Amino acid sequence: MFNFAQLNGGQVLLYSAVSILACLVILAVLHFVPRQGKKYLIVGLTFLAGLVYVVDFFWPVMPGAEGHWLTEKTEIIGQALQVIAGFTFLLGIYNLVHIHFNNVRRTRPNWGFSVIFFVFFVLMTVAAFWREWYVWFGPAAAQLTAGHLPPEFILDRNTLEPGLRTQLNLPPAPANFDPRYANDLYSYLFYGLYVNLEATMFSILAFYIVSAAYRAFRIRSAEAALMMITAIILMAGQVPLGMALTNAIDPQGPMSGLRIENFSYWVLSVVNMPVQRAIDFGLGIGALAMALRIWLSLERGTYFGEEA
Amino acid sequence: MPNSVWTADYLVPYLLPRVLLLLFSVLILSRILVARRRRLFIRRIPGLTAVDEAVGRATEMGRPITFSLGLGALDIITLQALAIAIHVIRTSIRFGNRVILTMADSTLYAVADEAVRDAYTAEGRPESYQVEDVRFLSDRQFAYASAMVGVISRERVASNFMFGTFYAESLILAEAANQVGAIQVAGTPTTTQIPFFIAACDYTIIGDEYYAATAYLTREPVLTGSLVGQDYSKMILLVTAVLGLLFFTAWHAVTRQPVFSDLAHVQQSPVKMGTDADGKPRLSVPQQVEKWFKEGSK
Repeated sequence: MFNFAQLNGGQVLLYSAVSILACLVILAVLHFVPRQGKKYLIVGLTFLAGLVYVVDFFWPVMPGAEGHWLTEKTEIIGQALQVIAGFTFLLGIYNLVHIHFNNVRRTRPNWGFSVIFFVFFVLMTVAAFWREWYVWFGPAAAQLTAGHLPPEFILDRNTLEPGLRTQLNLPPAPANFDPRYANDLYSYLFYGLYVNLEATMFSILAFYIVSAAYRAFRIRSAEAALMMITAIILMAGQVPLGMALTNAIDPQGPMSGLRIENFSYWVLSVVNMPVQRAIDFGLGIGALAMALRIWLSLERGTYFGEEA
Repeated sequence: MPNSVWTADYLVPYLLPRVLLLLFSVLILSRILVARRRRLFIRRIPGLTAVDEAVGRATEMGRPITFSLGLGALDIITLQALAIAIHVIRTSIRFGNRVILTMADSTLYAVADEAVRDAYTAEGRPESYQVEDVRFLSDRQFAYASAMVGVISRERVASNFMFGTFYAESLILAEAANQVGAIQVAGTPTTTQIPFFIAACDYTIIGDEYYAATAYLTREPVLTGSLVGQDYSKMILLVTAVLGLLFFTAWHAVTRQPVFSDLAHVQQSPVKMGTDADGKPRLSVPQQVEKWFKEGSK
């Protein structure tokens, strides 16, 4: 197993270049495989990959044991997906750049937003890569000095690990230091700008819930009426004003179940829960059927063209 | 193998799910084989019938359709959503309409892009395929939501489909499409988001209807057989649940044990009858207000 912390920049570059070259060779070979051959290859690989997980699930684990002979290997195989995701991320970026570049080039309506996209795409990429550059392309961790670190406006020294700070003879970080308030470009862009924009989108949800609930609670059928009554009971059970309605009932008495907070809890845990579980059972079996069809390549039309 | 393996503590939680899974798998595969020989019946599902209606409406209005695959990565849920998307896209190609397919996972983008290209080729219109109609928006939840809202608003879509894994962004997307007057069909296995879709969309696919969608839309023998196999599996689960309930009740009646003594987790629920979280009796609202004033004055 590679330990990247012990590699220097040149070795990281060499390993990366060899890996990319190997992938390109495999892709080139696959490109020349006939269409029918590709189909059989996909079917075979899908079956083999699925078989690993099937054997992992059905192979008996002795009582008290953490796993069996395949458990650890399954985790390694699962990491292959992360490698593929790394490659496909470039495709995603290509798609984004392609769409926004065309927006600017053809000066489509609101093309200014595409310019903003490019500005922040470049800024964020520079801020994030420059910050980590010394980790991947600097000397091995043991030979690292403060001179290898990027400028202060790119990497706030307070964000470094305590062990590394000691090694680089840097003063300790303030006791109340929070990485979200670090004084560098990445933190300004991510925590200062992006996280707040995300919170803004999330807060819009409050208004949407009101408008959607208003439309949903218009009584147009017996089912809608039942839903509205249930919703009122549940909402009343959550707020003091609602609870005040049934305050006259003794909390310790035999009729305590009729207090609104207790009744709403009963609706949730006794009436609602079995329905939720029934839906979950149906979904679980549906997912099993879909997984079987994909594993055995029985799906037609969608992933393999017209003929399976 | 040591004798300790054959205890109920090991057999029930470990072997029972595996035996049931094997049984369900055999049932589903056997029904697929049956469906290849004869046509099987599927009941009408209004939400899925609305798929063609939504495509037709968009064609009449001359406006595009958006199809969101949600936040899911390349998993079973999203692959099912993609299969539904391909059906919608193929129907739209026949009517000469445009579907904008969006997603939040770049791995999925690679698969979706290829599947959409194949759909255009299969319909004999490969030249109509546009790279910009399959969009990877962002892998961050609310960045994806805001980008999707932007697409819906700018394109003023006539129909909006949402199938896949959704979280808090579900209602943001549904309300944005509602504001431009789009007809909406949604389906998700994320049960916490189903109420939002019911409230905001015209048609919602609930529960295992989500996995029945492709069978219903295409009527392919493999898919219909698989659907019937799922129904048989659910029947077995239902019978098991009813038998379990009867056995549990009968056992406690015969042994004269109190039924709820075994359900300790129910007793440990956060809200207890007539008590607050500390187990003290609940105060009335006037008593509570009085308590706040007293505590405040100290």
